[in-house]
Amino acid sequence: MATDHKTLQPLEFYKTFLDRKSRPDGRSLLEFRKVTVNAGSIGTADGSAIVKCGNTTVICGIKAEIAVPGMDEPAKGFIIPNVTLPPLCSSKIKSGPPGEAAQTATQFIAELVANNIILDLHTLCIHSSKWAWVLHCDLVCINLDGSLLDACVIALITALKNVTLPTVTYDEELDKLICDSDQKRPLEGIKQPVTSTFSLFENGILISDPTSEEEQLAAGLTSITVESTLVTHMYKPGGCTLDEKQVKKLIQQSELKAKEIVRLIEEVCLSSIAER
Amino acid sequence: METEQKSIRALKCEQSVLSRADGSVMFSQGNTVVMASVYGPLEAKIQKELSDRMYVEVNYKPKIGMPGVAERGKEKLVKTTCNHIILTNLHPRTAVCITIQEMQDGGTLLSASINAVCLALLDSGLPLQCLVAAVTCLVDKKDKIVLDPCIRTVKEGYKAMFTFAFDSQKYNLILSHCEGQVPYTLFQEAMELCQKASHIIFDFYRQAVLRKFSKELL
Repeated sequence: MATDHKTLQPLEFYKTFLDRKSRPDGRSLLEFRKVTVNAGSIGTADGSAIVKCGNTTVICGIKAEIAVPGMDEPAKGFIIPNVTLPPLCSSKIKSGPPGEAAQTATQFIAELVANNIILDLHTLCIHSSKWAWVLHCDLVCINLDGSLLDACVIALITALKNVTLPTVTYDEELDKLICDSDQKRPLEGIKQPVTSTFSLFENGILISDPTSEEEQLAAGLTSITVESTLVTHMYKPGGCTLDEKQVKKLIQQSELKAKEIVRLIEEVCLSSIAER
Repeated sequence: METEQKSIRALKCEQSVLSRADGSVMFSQGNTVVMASVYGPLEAKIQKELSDRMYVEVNYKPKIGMPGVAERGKEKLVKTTCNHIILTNLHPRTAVCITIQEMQDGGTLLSASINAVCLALLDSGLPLQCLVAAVTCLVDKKDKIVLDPCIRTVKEGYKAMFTFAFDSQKYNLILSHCEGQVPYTLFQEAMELCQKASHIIFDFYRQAVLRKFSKELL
């Protein structure tokens, strides 16, 4: 009976839970799913991380290479993110060129990088206007169950903290790069932004960390990125409207989640350094 | 903390510029010029057809080069805004195709695109739930909030740049897009300033429609 109701009228079925301030998986409205993080599992990559937010699983692998910096920014290195949603992650994804979801997620991460929110790109420069590091960050989602951006950001930050680069020095007289593969050092100055996604419903109900079913039923979606006490990005692509009080409440919830996630990432990174 | 510019740049528009489109507009906000066209309701392709509402498709064309991932990002923002303001339930199994052409980049392309699309939708006569007005503001390196920055201010560098879009009924937030980081108090102040500025844009829409119909009746 309940499954019939769920198939025929998914929104009505869902609203019976919302009226009792709960959700089908037993969470309260503003509760986040359990987050599991693992760093350094991919041996061939320079840095890697696997993140699970509930069922949503994202793997991040980072490969470094050396290139000539751009002419307009000679003292900056590059971080090139790429979010891939292969068809195995969800029944809604078809094979073929990257769809809208993958491209908008890539653009979201690229904007965070471009605004120096993840890392100051000047630290990736080896020698101004001659050589700089390029970090190719591939984020692959292997199970899509809502809150893709949250998992991607956590995976990227953890993988960057896991990266170790060989020490490279530039000899000006010989015009050569000298690479010492035995002396590896981690990246410095990685900031810790944390994204929290919320779903909005018409009668002012806000729920946090939606599953993909909840995302489809919602009238709007917003992803708020915070870093310590700074509001970094409020990504709200249209949808149902929000007033000031609701915006403030969502930002407060994001700050609470950010504290938890930052603590988790630090624990994971310390244990992975200990293993090395 | 003072606001350098308490108002937005001059708004100009000319509606029905394209003869074949259902709705079109050439819109300028200061030096930023954008052209938007609306074709709809059209017959939808079978893969895109939705049984209970109209499918909204947005194409953003940059002035130079092929559309890339950045353009997809803008398209998604405009598409989800349009999904909210157009009464899509009235035209099921059809599609509406909205095209935005960048003519000149004077600094605030995203907000100019959203405003142009709103005017083009008004011109096309599609049923709308409410109107939308988008405003961009910038927090420069000295913590001063500049409303509707021109391209020179943007190129000088900034701490953060926000684009907010509000609806015409309760002036609540429909769309938000940010670049950069600020403490929450500055964020809230920027949002309030943009909300006040959106009233100017709504007045402008009203003037534009009045002008259009007074010309037609003559």
